[in-house]
Amino acid sequence: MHSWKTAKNLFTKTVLLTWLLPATVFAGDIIDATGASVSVSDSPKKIVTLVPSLAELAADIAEENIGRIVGVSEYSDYPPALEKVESIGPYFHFNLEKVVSLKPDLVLGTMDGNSKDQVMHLRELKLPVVIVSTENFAQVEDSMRIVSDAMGASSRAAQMITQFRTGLSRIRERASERAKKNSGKKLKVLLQIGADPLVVAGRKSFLNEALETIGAVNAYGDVEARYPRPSMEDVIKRGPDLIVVLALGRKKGPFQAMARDWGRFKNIPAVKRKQVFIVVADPLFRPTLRLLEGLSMLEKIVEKNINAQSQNI
Amino acid sequence: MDNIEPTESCIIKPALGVYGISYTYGDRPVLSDVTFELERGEIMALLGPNGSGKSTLMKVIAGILQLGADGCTGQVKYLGNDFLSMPFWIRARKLTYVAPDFRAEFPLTAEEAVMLGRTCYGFGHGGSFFRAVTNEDREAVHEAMDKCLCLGLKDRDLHTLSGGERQLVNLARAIAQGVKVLFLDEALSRMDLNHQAVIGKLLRVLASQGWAVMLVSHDVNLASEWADTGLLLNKGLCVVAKGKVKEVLSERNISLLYPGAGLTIGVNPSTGAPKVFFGKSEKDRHTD
Amino acid sequence: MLSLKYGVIADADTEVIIELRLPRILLATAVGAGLSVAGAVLQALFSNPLSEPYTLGISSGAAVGAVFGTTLGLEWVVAGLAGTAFCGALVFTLLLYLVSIRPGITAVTFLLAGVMLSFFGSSLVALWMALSDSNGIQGAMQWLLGDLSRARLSGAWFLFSGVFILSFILLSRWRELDALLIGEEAAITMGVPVPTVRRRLILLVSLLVGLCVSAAGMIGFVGLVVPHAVRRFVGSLHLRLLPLAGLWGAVAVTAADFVSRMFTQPYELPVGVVTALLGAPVFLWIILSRQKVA
Repeated sequence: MHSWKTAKNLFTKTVLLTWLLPATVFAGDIIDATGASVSVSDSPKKIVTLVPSLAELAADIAEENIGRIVGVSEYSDYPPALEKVESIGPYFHFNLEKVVSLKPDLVLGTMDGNSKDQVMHLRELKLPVVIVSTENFAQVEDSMRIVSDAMGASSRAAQMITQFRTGLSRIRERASERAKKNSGKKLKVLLQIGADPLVVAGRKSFLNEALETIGAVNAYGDVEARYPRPSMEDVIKRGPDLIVVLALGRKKGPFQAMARDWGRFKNIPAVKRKQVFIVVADPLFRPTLRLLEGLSMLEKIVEKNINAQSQNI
Repeated sequence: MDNIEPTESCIIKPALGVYGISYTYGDRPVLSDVTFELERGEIMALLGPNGSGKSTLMKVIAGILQLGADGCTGQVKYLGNDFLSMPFWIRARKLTYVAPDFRAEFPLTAEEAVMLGRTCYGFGHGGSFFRAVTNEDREAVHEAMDKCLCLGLKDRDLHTLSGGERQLVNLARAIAQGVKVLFLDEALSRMDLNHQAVIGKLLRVLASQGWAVMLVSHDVNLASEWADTGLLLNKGLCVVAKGKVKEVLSERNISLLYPGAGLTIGVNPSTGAPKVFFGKSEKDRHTD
Repeated sequence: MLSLKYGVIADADTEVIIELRLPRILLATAVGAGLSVAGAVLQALFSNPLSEPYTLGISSGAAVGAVFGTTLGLEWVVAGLAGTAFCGALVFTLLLYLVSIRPGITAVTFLLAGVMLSFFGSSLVALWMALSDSNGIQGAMQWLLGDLSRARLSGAWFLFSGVFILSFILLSRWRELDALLIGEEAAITMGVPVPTVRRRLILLVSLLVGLCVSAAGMIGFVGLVVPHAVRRFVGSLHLRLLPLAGLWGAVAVTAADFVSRMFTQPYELPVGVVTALLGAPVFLWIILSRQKVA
């Protein structure tokens, strides 16, 4: 009888203890960028990423255990080890069956690019889908944290975020120095994503914040959209000082053609002063630490331009 | 609803009573207050030049053209009852209109086309969703095609038939429909002479069985051969309300309808039916 | 048997893949049957062998309706998109009907009107795509050209039963449809209340097309080719034509879906592309062989 009482006591204490302990010790409930609560196992071993940027982020967090990533979307080419991973199709319309057949214990998707219907469908099939959003740097930091938590590597998040913030503040310092030298004048920059139709970065893309960080002004920073498609006349009206063609992927050809195409419009200040550049922009689009690389590339271009301008004066 | 079968007292009522039909296409009047009666057993020829409204009149009575809009008024009575307010499928069991030709855009055999005449029996009492083809239907079709000399064509696709053969099939369709009033609109025009002869005799037989037939043909002689009575229309107006064909096809009426054509009236020596002949032309008269 | 057909993807028999494939097959079957039946009825209704939901632009009307429904946020409402797609299809069908009753209309002119409507509808959809943020565009394009991958079990059952019920109702009109084979005037004189029947058929077909397009986008040429092929074997009478057209339509779209997924892994071709590639040449052949008959 005595032993029975002790057993019950012990049992009650254990139960109470488990209720009191912080939730992250057990199967984590991640709250993702959509506000949904997703139940993920401690350390997912079969991760599928629905967009290249998240593949990169996940690879970064997984470090040497890159084998945890079992499915990636097309063009997930960084780090190179990912090229051997099975493809689930293009990010805008991935192959549902493929994803399901890989039996993942974590799926990473984004609000910027994946089809809402497809992602919801995965959720309906009871797969743990964690969704991030990357409209600005704050959300980029959030996504680092969310993905790290989901992958069971919360400590990594803190590391990454610190590095990220440090890098950002350095860039911001340099920007303010440049601004002082130029009496507060800011360059107006057009970030081109695509041509035919012309697609640029608007206010809701984090590229907007990227430009602000390096002390430039987005030519389309007032348009409340992620990637608006303006007419050529509109661009001429806004007269950007600098046009940056963001090249993605390996083929340089089409982007060079895009850059050359601007030559037709001699009225745009950027074209007049031959300030049209192609930037291999993959790093810029990844909400990982490589973003800092991308920012410094942009920075260099801005510096060159400002120097060129000051020489003209 | 089928209690409009004739009883002793109904025999007095005409099969079809048409009263005051007026019809306009837009602002063009085509028929103006046309009134006549068609008795059972009567074959009436509807005659008149092109554009006199013959087809329109038939189509209005048959329900293909609707009354009710501006300038489109009139009444039609079948055995004394208002015809145009009866449901379509009941009307189809009493009266049908045979067009000059019919086309099917899709594969259809002659037999299937004739079977379509039995459609009206699929509605109302005795009609059901899955009642596709009954023995009654089959018999009616077989008999009709036999009478119309097209039984041999029954498995041929309509596309492969000549104009005259299609007309035989169309007529068979109307007969299979089991109506009591038949409207033929240029429905014999492309048949061979021998077919026309047989069909003409068939019409007489049907009339003797109580059918009423109205014929439109711009071959006046064809119509006058088979018809008992004639109704002449000129620009939508009845020229002569009704009468025996011999009376109606007078020189005076013919010259009124076809002025300047120099037509004369003669008689078919075998049957006594009136015949229209081309007279000598003005030119010939002068050279005489 | 299913895994034989679809077994190209390894491990074709996990439970969840059945959960994905079954709705998809159900949807393909329903849409294939629905579009074929709709095509056959449209051909009888307009006495035009070149009629079918896609070539007459009715599908694009439904697409406009569905796209409008997404802007209204009805995507997540049960049958929300089907409702707006129905309205779109109905408007376009009514416009077509107004064209068809003009005197002197020939078969080819009528078809041209349908093609114009189709362009108009596509332009409206393109307008919508241009005005919205470029995020969902490529996904929307996939749906527009025929996409069966969004199939959910509940949605597929809804569609399947909807198509089944509507097809059955249309089948029950077989007498009227048969009578229409030799023209509206002849049909009236054989006892068919043509104006009423016409209205009802237009309504039913619009509903059917609206359902199919809202679920699977625009899949063309099935409604044209399948009824023609079936007629060659069983004739034009609808009591036999409609069920068989439905059956073979289901097979055709299921097969097209199979093709769209098997040869370009992991990409999926839109189903409408497959049906167009195979169906358009047949369409052309039908037009040319009609010239010979005429």
